[in-house]
Amino acid sequence: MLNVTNLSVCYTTEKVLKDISFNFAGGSILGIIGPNGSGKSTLLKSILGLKNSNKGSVIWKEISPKLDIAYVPQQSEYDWEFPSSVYDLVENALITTKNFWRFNSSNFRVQVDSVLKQFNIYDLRNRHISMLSGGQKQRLLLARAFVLNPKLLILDEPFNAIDHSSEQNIFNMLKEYVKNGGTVIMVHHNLNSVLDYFDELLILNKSLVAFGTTDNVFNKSNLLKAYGSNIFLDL
Amino acid sequence: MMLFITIFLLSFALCCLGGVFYYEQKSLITDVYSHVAFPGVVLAYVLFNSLDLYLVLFVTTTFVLLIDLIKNKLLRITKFTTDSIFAFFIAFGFSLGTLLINILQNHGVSTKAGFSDFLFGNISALSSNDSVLIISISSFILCLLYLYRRVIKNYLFDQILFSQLGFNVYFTQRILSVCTVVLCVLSLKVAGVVLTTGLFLIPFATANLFYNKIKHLFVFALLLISLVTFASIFISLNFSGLSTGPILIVLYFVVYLLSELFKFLRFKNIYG
Repeated sequence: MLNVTNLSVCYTTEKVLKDISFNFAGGSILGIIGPNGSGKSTLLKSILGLKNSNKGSVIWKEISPKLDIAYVPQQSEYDWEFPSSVYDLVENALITTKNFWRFNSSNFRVQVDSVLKQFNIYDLRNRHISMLSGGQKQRLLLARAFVLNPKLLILDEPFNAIDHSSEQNIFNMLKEYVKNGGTVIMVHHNLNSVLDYFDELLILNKSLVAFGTTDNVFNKSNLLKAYGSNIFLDL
Repeated sequence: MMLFITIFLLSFALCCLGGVFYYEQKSLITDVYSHVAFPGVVLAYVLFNSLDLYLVLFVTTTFVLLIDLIKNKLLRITKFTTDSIFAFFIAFGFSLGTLLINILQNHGVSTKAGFSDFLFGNISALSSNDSVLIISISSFILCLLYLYRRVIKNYLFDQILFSQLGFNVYFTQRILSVCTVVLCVLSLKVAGVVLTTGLFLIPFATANLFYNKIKHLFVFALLLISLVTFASIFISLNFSGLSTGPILIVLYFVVYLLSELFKFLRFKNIYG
């Protein structure tokens, strides 16, 4: 599904990613972990084509980056005071260059209602987005991504600033999505849940530390390489 | 009546675009455009020896859009923040305009050429032709904003998804910039270089205090604009020597302050 070869990215003079190469087949949940500033978000943006690489290539197979991928950035990247209701925000994701001039809300009502119900935010559909809790906001962002019927979901730290039960709810939804043929790539920071969450893991610290199945690569030696000695985990 | 419709439509179009830039967190951009438009007005006079609004609109809009390209390039390559760059251009625009007027004066051009109408705004200097131009362009921009309201909403909330849905972020930014520059130039004769930004922002900011749904927000702004426009024209017609532009802005600001006070007191009553 995704073939990355010798990918390098620089911000001004500083190299943020160095010679990253990996091959991801898809059909599973891939976690990307690494310390702060290790280039996790930059890697996501580069594979999505939102950040130009200085070297290397990103090749998608059997997937169109424009049509089949939904990207959900971190919650903090949005202005939650924006004047919109939950329903409007999800519905607006269905406006494309092909239908915007004759967009008819009633044609999409069933589709929007169904995804709102799937993410348990149907009762909040008329609420202003600023009135939502952290978990509800995250479910709204996921609902907005799911309404596009993506084959691949790319998430940047989706469990930031949300409580444990919301995290579990959202993760179960993602698991269900993968079971139905979807693929998830997710940046994650909580190392305690890595073994439970991910089928495959990419450990990053500007360069690639390890890539493979979580059972194989999530070990002390790789974590020490990525995080240095400041890591306390009972593995 | 014609004057009321002119100022009302212009103010409402300015308020709608002010809202767009408010959510883009680029509120000062309107100040940049109006200040950079000032030397454009002088340039129009130098080129055509006339301050006819149609000519001024054409020359000044072209001039401001060229400067806008330089500003965008600088924003991409510089280490300075957007606010700093905006401040540079505000100072540059006003200085260049003043300098050009000084040069013209030194070459024997009278200060009565009409520059002060653009500098401080003078509604009484609006001819019926000017009004027709302002009404037509404001109505066109309002229709455009209404037709593309959902697209603009998507653009403002999430530019990554916006581009994934097939829209061009750069093209949208350019269209919005052109509309803003055109309205800025037209409003110079109503509110002047310094006050134009007030028309863009204060009505929207006041409405934003009370409502968080776009429809309600703009209905409130519409009522506020019609009320303040009516009051400003009434005051300026009944008290000679008072310009409508400054009255508009002062009234908007008073309403804004009262709204903040009202909101504060209501909050205090509810939550103690």
